[in-house]
Amino acid sequence: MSVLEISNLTKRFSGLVAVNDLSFSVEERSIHALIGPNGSGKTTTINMIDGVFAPTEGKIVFHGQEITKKPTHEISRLGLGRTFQNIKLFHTLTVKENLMVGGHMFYAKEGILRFLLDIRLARQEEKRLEEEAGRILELMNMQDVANRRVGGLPYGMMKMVELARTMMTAPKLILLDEPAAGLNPSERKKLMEILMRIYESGVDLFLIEHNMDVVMNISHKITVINFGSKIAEGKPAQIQNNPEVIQAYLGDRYQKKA
Amino acid sequence: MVIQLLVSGIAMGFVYALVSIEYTLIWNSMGLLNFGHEKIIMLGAYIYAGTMIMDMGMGYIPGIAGAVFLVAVLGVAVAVGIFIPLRNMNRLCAIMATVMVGNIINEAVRLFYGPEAMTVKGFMNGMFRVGSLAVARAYIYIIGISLAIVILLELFMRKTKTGKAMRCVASNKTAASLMGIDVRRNMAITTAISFAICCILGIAVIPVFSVSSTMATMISLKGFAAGVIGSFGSLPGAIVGGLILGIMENIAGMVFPSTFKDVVAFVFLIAVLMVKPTGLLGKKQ
Amino acid sequence: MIKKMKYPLAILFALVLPLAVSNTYYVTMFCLTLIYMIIAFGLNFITGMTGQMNLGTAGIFCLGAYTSALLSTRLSLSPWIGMAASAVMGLLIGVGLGYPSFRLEGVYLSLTTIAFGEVVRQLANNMTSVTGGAQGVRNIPPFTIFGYEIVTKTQNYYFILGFVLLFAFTAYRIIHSKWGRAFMAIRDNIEAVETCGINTAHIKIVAFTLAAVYGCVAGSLYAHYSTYINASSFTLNLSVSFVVMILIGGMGNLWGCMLGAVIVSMLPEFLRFTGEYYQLTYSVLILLCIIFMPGGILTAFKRKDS
Repeated sequence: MSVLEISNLTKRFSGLVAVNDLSFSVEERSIHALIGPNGSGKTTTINMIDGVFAPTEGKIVFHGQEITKKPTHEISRLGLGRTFQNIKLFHTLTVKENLMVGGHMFYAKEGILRFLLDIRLARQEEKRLEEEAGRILELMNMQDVANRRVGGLPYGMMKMVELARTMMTAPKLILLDEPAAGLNPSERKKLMEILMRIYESGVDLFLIEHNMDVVMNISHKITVINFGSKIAEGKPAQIQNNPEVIQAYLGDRYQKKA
Repeated sequence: MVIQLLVSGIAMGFVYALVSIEYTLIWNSMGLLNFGHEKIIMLGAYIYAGTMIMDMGMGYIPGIAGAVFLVAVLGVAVAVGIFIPLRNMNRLCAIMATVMVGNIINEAVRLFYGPEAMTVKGFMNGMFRVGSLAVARAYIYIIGISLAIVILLELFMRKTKTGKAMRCVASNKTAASLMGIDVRRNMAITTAISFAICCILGIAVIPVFSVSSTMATMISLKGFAAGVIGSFGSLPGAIVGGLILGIMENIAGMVFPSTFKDVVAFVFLIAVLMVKPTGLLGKKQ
Repeated sequence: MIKKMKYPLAILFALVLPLAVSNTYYVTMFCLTLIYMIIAFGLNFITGMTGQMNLGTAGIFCLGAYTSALLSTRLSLSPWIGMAASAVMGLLIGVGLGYPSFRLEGVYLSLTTIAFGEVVRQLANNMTSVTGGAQGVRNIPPFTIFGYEIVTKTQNYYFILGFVLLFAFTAYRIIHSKWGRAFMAIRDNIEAVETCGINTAHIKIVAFTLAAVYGCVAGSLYAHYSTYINASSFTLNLSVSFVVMILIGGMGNLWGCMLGAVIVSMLPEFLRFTGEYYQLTYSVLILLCIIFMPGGILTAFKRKDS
């Protein structure tokens, strides 16, 4: 069964075709990667799935429900989380508070009136949020930075905070926009471990990534696009040996030596 | 009667459009909303009436040139000293700083010229007659001056090097500075032009409002409204918004008691935002 | 130690303050300061925390004052009912004005709120048959508690102080909860808030509605305290002063709001020696404050924590 089904997706920006008739589906219990040269329409695709842009044409179905024209916050509530290429965090809040904003709609749904009138209920919600944040911080080995202000953290750690915040939205699928970009090799290794841990906790992953070590190591299926159109799809080994992909993007370095 | 109302509506519409253009220039260039513009308009009128005409006894045209020059120089000073350093600050601080600059100018004017209102005798006075039709000459002048400013500004932006650079800065500051444009200098020039337009506006409305500390309060607020009604940040939007607002409030003046004339504009603004938040000419989001 | 004691100490200070001054003129000023504090607490939600400029607070304040004043003078209803109606008015303003303004971000809110403030002031001034026009509303009855009328300045001071404490407590709870975090998150990065499943327009409307309810209740307190209101006092300049309060005190912080309210309402006293140059001095001081202490006075003196 597929959790995310993209059919005939097209996006035109006043004349420029960023994504052209793209179709693919993310299978349940899988890590799916989308790769391609810079400017090939990868981030545009994620932005359309996430409701940032409306697609010009095409249809997006998530867990059997059409989300093509839904706003971002509704899509997120259905269990589709994302991270950004250029990290988007709440810089004046602490790590834990960032996570708690992530859980706002999932562990603390009460409206403002009930919040104001029922002090006990408000306390329960707050406690619930803190517990959940604690659980995610533990899952990601981040307890020691819980009370640090995000603005002062190193870059790699900020990326982790963003991922952790997404985990607070009880996601079924996370879209990761270049999670390994800007990380050093040891941070990258840690990222892969954590991604695997998240995957094993029952969350499917869909990532855009330029680092082929990460892509080839963790993905089950890879879709390759160039100039907005799909040029190949398959298991990592198939992609590594696809001549068109090698020509357009990989170069011969990643070709499996036969 | 209807024709007179229409003419004065179009004239006021152009005034609102010019206000809208004047603050849009600064907004596009620096991302700053100049809430002090009302006081600049007033200052222009005071310098013209109080200093150039009354104190120095200049003629109308040299007086206008002198006042515009002085206000433009002030524009450069305010840009270099306050607006340019402020533009990267958090937006609330920046807006409040422009409000405070306006207050300072307001107080300086009050202390320097005294609290009493002034008029300039004979300036743009009288009626313009075509057959049985009589229209206040001031309105015709206002329409003429505004059209001239709009055309000159458009030519300046499209044909001159500085104008082209201004458009570059408005669309992308980093790219502009990489192309060798001195962004700060360009912003200072933009502010000077914006202030100069304010000054001309202030002088042009003297026959309508006379010179007083609150003369520009309403036109500056309605100029903001005109921009939003048309399409925020665009030149055609400013003109369309201004004209619609000017004509509509004059027509509304026939239906409602005149005391509600000012309310109509703002109610209309809120109504437009409800129906089409990007403005009448704005693209769909 | 001091950290824990600061709340009881502040309350104690507020309680003895009117006993320490002999001149009722000062008590009058303190009353106004307290009312401004409530408004600043409210404005803090939308402008201080959520980062959305609101320049229509005078209009909110004005509607609250007129609602309460007109109900109690024209219909002879109890001021308490007037206050409840003012609070409902705040809800209406929040939702009614928030909905159109928040669908787009940016400058629209500052412009619509200015327009709103102007409409309110003009209507209050011109709808003579309802509002009394330029004459204002006179002889507004005072609040009563268990049959006792609150008449003297000192009684009013303690009465209003009670409301300040209630509103400060509520504001404290909101700031230190999921609401406060969501407000500040919007200020920091609005797109990321959407990906957290939060409808940012809804959160902004909540913040704005809170500000409107705070402002309207403050208006009701003001009307019954001063017994006379006039539309000409609710100007754009007043709205600007409210923003100045939270800006120079320190945004997002209750102590900052209180400090700002005290400074803005006391400054005329301290600057009395400047005479005719008062407005000029005031504007220059505030401008310098904004340029050199953009985070507000409290932040400027606080140690930087990481």
